[in-house]
Amino acid sequence: MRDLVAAVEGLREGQLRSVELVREAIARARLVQLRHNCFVQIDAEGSMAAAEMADALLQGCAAEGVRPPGALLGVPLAHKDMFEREGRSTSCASKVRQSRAARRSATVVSRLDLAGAVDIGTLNMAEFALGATGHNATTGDCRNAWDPDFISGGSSSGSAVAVATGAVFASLGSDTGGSVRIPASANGVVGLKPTYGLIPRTGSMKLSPSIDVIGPMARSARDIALLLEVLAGADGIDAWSSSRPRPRYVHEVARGVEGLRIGVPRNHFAVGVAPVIRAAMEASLTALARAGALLVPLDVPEDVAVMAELSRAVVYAEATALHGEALRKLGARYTPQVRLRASTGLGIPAPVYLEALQWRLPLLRRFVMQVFSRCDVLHTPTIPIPVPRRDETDVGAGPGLWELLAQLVRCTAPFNFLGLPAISVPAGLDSRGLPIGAQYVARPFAEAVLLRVAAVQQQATPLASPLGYDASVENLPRK
Amino acid sequence: MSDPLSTSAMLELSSLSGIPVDDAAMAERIAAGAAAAVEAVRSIAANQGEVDLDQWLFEIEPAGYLALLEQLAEDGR
Repeated sequence: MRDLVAAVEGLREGQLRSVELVREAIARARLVQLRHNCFVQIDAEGSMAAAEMADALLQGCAAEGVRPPGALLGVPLAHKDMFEREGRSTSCASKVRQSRAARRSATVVSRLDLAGAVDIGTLNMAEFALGATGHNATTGDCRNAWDPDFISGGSSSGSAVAVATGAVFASLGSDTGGSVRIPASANGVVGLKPTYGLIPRTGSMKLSPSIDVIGPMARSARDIALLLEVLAGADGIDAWSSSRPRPRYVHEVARGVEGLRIGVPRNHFAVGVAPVIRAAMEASLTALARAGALLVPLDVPEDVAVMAELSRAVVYAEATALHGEALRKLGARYTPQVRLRASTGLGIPAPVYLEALQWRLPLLRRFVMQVFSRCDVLHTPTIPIPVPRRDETDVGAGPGLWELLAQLVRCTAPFNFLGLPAISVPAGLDSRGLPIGAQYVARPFAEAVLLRVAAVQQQATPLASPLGYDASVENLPRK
Repeated sequence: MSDPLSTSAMLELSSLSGIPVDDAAMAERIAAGAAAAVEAVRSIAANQGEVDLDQWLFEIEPAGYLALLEQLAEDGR
C-alpha cells in the first residue's frame, strides 16, 4: 500500500478491510521489532478488536450508501510512548516513570481515535525525549530502518522507524530541538514540526513547554496534510494553542510550486555541510526549479548562529524544573546521559533563562521580516552530515556529548527557538544507502506552503522503504 | 567568549539545590553545556548595538509570543 491516503481510500471503496491491514501491520511490527527495536509495546488484541469495529462501520455505511465518518477510519497507526491514553501507562521510555494508568487521553490521541485510526501500540524514543541519536540504555537502542548499525535519530526514533519499515502508515512524535525532523531525515520519511501552538499538547509529556511541539511523521506529504486536518486547532485546555482559522491542507498540498520563492541560504546553513549532503540539496533545488519555483539566494540573520544555544538555555532550564524532584529522589533510575542533560538547567541562572525567552520575540520578528520578505520557503539540509554509526555516537554522558548534539541539531534547533514550521522531506540516499533529508521552513502557520513544496520534492524522490511498502510480510526477510 | 562555569561552582549549585551530581567529571560536563547556553544569551545581547531598555520595560511581552506568531502569519497573507 503506497501511503496513508491510499489506505483510507481503499478502505472506503471496499477494496481493503481494516482487519487485513491491522493484521499485516502487527505481523510486520513484530518482525521489524527484532531488528530495529522501534516498539515499546504492540497491542494485537485491542487493535484487532478496533479493526473489526471499523470494518463493521465501513460495511454498514456502504450498505446505506453514506460516507463513512472519520478521516482515518480503520488505518493502523502507532505513536511515541509519551502521549497519554486513558487506562494505559505511558513509559516515556524510562525506568523513572511509575506504571500508572492515565485518567484521560491526550488531545491528539482523542482526535485520532475520533477519526477512526487504529492504535496498534507505542513506540520507542529517547528517554524523556532527551536524545538526538536513538540510543536508550533502558529500552534498548532504536536502530535505523535502512541499516541497524546506524543511528535512527531521535528523540522520536521509533516513530520514524515504524513508518519507514512499513509497520504503520503514520505516527506522532514530538520536536523540541529536531526530534521529529532528525529521525525523519535519517530514516527517509516525511516529518513535520508545526508552528508552535498549532497542535495542542494536552496530555502529552512535557520537556520544555515554551518550545515543545507535537508533529506527525508519514510516508508522503499528502499523508501529513490529512493528519494535520485531524490534529490541528485549539482544544480549549492548552493555553498555548492557537484558534486561528486553518486552510484545508488536503487541498493545498496538490497546488504545486509554480512561482513560489525558495530561499537558498548562503551563510550558516550552507556552512559545514558534507559534500554528499550538499549534492542532494542541490538536486532537490533543481527539482523544485524544474517545477516552476524561483530560487532566491539570501543571507539569514547572523543571530541564527547562536539560536540553537539560546534554545538550550530555555529547554534545559525548563527540563531541570520539571525533573528536579525526580532527580533528587530517583536520580539513579535515569540513564547517565539523560540525567546529565536533565540536570543542565542547574547551571543556567533564572535571569538568563528569562532573558532568552524575552529575546525570542524580537529575534523572531527580525528573522521573519528579513527572510520571508524575500522568499516563501527557506531551504536547508535537515542534518548537515551523513547519518552516523551507532557505535561512533554512543557517547553516553562522556566527552563529546555536547559536540555531537550541536552537530545534529545545527539546522533544526534554531526553528524550535523561533517557533517556525519546518518539514523534513526525503532527498535521496547516500553512497552507503542511508537517507538524506531536506528541510523547508516557512513563516508562522504556513504549513500548507511547506506541504506543497514537500509534495513536489517527493515526485522527484519517490517513496522508498528499505523493506518495500508493498511487500507482504510473508515475503520479508526474517533477520 | 566569557569564562566557562567552573566545576566547583557547579558542585556548589548541586549541593544548594539538592539535585545530586556524582562527581567532578559530571559537574564539568553539565557546566560545559550550560555555559554554552549562557554565553549565547550574553552574545546576543552584546551584538545588538545601543541599549534599548524601553523595549524590555514597555514593549516586549514574552507572554505575547503566540500572538506574535499569529500576527506574523497575518502579515504574510
